[in-house]
Amino acid sequence: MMCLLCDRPFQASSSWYDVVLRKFPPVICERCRESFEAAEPNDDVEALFTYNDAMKHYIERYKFGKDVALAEVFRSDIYEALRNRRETIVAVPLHRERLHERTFSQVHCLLEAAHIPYANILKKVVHDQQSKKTLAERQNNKNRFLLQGEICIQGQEFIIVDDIYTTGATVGEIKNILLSHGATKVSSFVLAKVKSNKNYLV
Amino acid sequence: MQSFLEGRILDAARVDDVAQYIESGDVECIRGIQDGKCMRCLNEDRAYFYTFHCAVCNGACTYCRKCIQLGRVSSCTTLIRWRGQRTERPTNHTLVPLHLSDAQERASDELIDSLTARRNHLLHAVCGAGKTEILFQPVLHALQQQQRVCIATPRTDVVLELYPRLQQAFPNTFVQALYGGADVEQRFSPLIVATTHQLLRFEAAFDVIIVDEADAFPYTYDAMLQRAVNKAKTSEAPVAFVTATPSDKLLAQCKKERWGYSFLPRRYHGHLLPVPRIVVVRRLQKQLAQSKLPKALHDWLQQRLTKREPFLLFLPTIALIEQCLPLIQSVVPQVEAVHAEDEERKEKVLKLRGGELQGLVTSTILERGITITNVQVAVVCADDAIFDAGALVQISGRVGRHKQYASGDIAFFAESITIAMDAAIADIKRLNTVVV
Repeated sequence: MMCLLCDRPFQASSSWYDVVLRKFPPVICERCRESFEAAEPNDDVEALFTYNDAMKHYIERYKFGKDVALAEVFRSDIYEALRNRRETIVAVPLHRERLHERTFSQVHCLLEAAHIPYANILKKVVHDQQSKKTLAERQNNKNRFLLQGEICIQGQEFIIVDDIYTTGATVGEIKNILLSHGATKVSSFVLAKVKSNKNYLV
Repeated sequence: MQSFLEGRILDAARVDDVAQYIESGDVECIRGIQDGKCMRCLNEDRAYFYTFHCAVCNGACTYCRKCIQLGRVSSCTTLIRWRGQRTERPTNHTLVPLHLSDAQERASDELIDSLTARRNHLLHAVCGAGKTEILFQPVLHALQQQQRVCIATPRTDVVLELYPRLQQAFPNTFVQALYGGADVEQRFSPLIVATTHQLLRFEAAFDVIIVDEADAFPYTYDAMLQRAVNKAKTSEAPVAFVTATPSDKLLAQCKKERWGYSFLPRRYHGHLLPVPRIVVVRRLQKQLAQSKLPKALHDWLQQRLTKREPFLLFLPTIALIEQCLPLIQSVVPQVEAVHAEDEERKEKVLKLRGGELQGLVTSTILERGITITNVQVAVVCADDAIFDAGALVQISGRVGRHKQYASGDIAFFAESITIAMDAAIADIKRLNTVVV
């Protein structure tokens, strides 16, 4: 079994717990696993990890390097966190041109690898790239998303899922759309959150 | 541009104006993955292919994970090869005058003989024997025959080190350096120095390939390296392997296939290789874990301070490096740590060379290629599995490279003596007894 990240051979541990109760066998080795840092609890968003160097490299390889296989790296963590939620799960979508350029939607693949069902009720109508924007530009984001499909929003509860949370502009925009259509509760969940004192935005 | 494309196999999406070349027929298109084989790196191992639903081909698409660092190649990728006119190769190559020792001159001639006879060659030369200089005349010989030469090496550091040396040695030749993230001038180059990964961008392009540090590859890349080399060279092109520590496999192949073989057991200055000494330290790991510096190590560092000698201290893991750095700094303050992911690695080595730092605490990343005058070396936890015989020989090779400081201390601090430690010392001693 080769680690998806460092390509070194590794032994997946095989305790009874692993064999009987764990849903997904691991795809990365202990060493790579330990390079990721759990996120500190915070009120704005539920995050699994903090955006450290290891996570930055992971996102580069997965999202920009288009290594779709890496969607499986955190499947156990995402599964444990999102299974059995009563809220409807919604993934932040890509613009159709971006999807064509990247060939896959990184957030949807993360959820699919973790066997978490989601509802496709959003579409992105503005072709821009959040990671290339400054703080000021992000604060001016408007009308990038629209609802689609026949789902009823009124009285429902939602969790918005994205890969990285930097300023919260993206999930914030979607939250407003859902709330304005009558959602009673909207929370967000991300794979990694950028530490607030880090300046990624100048 | 057309001359740049010659010999290369690239993703059509990354080549400007590719449409016009396809139309003119100068370029041939092939699908990236064919019959379970990646057409760029020739990988056929199913474990390295991944299939997903692709938004472009709107269906199941397979891509190769083996060579993905060079840009993803999938079923919907189009690779292009140049099929047009061959570029006129330049002829006005010159080599600056060299000062080679008799042994170097002899090896150089032996290599030229092998290249002329289209025979593979193994240049087995100890650390500090002046391997690079030995290559210059054979390279000139090939260039003058309008051949295309590639020097391939596992690490970007080495490419960056060789590039200016080649430019200096061959002032009338357009030398190109290729490595991940490099700015590549779109021009034909008859002499390329590249990381082995970059070889995957070529197909039947080179008339001579020189593989530097052939033993420095992790085991899993062995097969991929062979495939990359075989694909990048023309079918009759010879391959020259240069290394101080050839593996048994390489030596066996050399003997069986009757390659040319040059052996240089002495450094260019003719002095013997410094022989490592073992210092057994009881409970070494426990002491370090308790943040205690063992006396033997403390004394060693103290000596370096008193004698004002620069030093390298090797440790097996990054975690240990981070843990021991403050301990070492308490004895010798002008010390910093270096490891593979350290972006300031080059600067720190320069500081050590310039005297701003007295020592570097490092991982095996500095085991080869680095030259510091009068450096003294300690390997702490030399009994760790990461220090195999080859690594220990390479590390020992850092000492005594300068003719005025041809000897130096190389000490292995360990709890026990491993087979690797024994083998490394035996190898070095054996090389020293060869009659030259």
